[in-house]
Amino acid sequence: MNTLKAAREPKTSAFAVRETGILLVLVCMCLALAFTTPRFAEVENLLLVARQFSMFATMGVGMTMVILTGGIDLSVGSVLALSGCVAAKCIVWLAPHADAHIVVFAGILAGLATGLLCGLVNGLIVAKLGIPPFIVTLGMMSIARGLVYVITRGRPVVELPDEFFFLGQGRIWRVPFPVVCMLVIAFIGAVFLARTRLGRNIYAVGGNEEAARLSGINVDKVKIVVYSLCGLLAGFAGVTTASHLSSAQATSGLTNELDVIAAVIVGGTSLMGGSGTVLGTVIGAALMGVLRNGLILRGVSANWQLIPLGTVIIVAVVFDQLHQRRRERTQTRLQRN
Amino acid sequence: MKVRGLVIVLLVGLILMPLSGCANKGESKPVFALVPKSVGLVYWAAAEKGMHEAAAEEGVDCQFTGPETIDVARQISIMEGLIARRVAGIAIAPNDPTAIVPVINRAVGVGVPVVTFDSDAPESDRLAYVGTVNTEAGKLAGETLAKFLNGKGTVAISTGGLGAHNLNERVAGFREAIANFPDIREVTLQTNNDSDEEATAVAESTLSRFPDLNAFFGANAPGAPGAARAVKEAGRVGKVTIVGFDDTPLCLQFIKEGVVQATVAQRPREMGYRCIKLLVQATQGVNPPTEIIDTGVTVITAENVDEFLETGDYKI
Repeated sequence: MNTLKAAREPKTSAFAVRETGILLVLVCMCLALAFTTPRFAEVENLLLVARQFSMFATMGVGMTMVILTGGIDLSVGSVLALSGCVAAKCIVWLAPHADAHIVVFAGILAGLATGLLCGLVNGLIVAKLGIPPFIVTLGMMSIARGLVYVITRGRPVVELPDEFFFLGQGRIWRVPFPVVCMLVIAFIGAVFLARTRLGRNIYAVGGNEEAARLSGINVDKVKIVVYSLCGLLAGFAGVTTASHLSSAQATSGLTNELDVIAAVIVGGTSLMGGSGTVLGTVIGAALMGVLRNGLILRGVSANWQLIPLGTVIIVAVVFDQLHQRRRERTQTRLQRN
Repeated sequence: MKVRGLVIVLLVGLILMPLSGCANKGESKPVFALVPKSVGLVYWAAAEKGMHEAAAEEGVDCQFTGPETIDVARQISIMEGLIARRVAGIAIAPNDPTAIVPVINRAVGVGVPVVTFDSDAPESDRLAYVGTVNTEAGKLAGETLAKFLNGKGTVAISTGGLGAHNLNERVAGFREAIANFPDIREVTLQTNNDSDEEATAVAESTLSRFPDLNAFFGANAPGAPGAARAVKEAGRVGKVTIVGFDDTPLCLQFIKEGVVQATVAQRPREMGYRCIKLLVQATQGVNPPTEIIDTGVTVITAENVDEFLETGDYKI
């Protein structure tokens, strides 16, 4: 009962708490860096930092939806690499046969389709066979990476036409194209989650799956949709990364799933499912990106860098746990009254 | 609710405080950065040591920073951060010779001199390459292996990132050398992704696939020790010849035990040292004497291994 009520309630109060807190941290970090290292605040640096975390944020939109349903997707890094490689190989294969723009378009579609297909497989197995998402996506992580090595034999795919490079290297009014894409995708994702029935169903499934099923929500469809979207967005990130590097690398995306999940968690989405927002994820990704940039700017040795990054994640999870307990106590109090 | 936010701010502030200490003392002195392919291999730790030595001699500051895995995108992001920091110079071992070109050129364009080390990016505007002439080193490895095999046998190659310029040059040199021995045949080339664990796993599967294999060639640092572990597991010490690269302590230990027959030792500490020296000179308007600076190699076998165990590059 309570979960359905929570799903129908506007999220305004949760929004104000969660995102404000993380946004505050981000702003403080940026200000601290801007004062101690003036170069951080230079427009070009900020734009580059935005590009650096843009693909993590983009994948984060899909990951948010997956985690909202109480699931997880460990395969995004491998799907990123696979999609990039498929797109590149398609382009190289088609290049002699058609006009460059058509070839590039076809390649990008092939890459996106690859991501979508991987996500679809994940979703079908999770929904129809009931196997825990952790295991399914862990398997997909290996399979996709394996396919990358089969397709590329470990070597990067190079000799891509210039027309392909706008996606990853182009700019619109100085703003890197991947950043523009991130903003558009995040906006669409946020609207989808907050305003559509399917979006609200995602929260419901994560809040209490049994209750959602009993109230008539097609839980299987919801799960298939979120994993497919997550895969599609990983595919998009893969094609964009290949475009940025002017080559599809077999080692792309290694350990990226951890950064994406970190962005989602730091952004306030609960691993238990049922609460979280896309905005939080984007802020979380920005936080991790700014922190990484800050560590370089402050001259921190590579050997020390992972510690602050991990600490931020733990702090965010602790905060989330405390918040969860507070919410439960409030709900119990409401029930008693 | 606001209290929670403040708590977070304080905690993150605590994380940032040690960071603010680091760079403050260095802001007056120029900072030179060294970027390895990835952090974690002891090979790079030797380069880091050389970097510190040169920086101390020159009275400048230095920064050692690199990606956690041999990820090209992350290495580019790190370079972008260093350019934003306007470090006085950058030495980098690129994971991919072409993908790194735009960011190297950008650095040079804004006045940050760049040299490559260990692996080159010849198409970029880098001032110089400091490292091993890999084709020659590969050839030396091939000739050494051929001697141990008496000109006959099958060999499996274990290499790192398949896009790495330096490793591919070594393999090419190796193949050129063994081409002179018609009775020596290469049966497979596998990648260990610059990881010690993968090197062992790959060697084990290779031995399962080719039970009568005569030799392993490890083109990067984890290659030979990985093969050594696998050969020991399979109980074929003495029946499989192993020739590797780099004189990491593990590899030298295996040579002492007789599991590995020889290794072509590079000089990563020398590379780190020379890079910083060159970059400092570049900032003073002195260009490198040549474009390719060969730091040389030494072949280490059971005969001279003790000497290297004592004085090697890896005594951190």
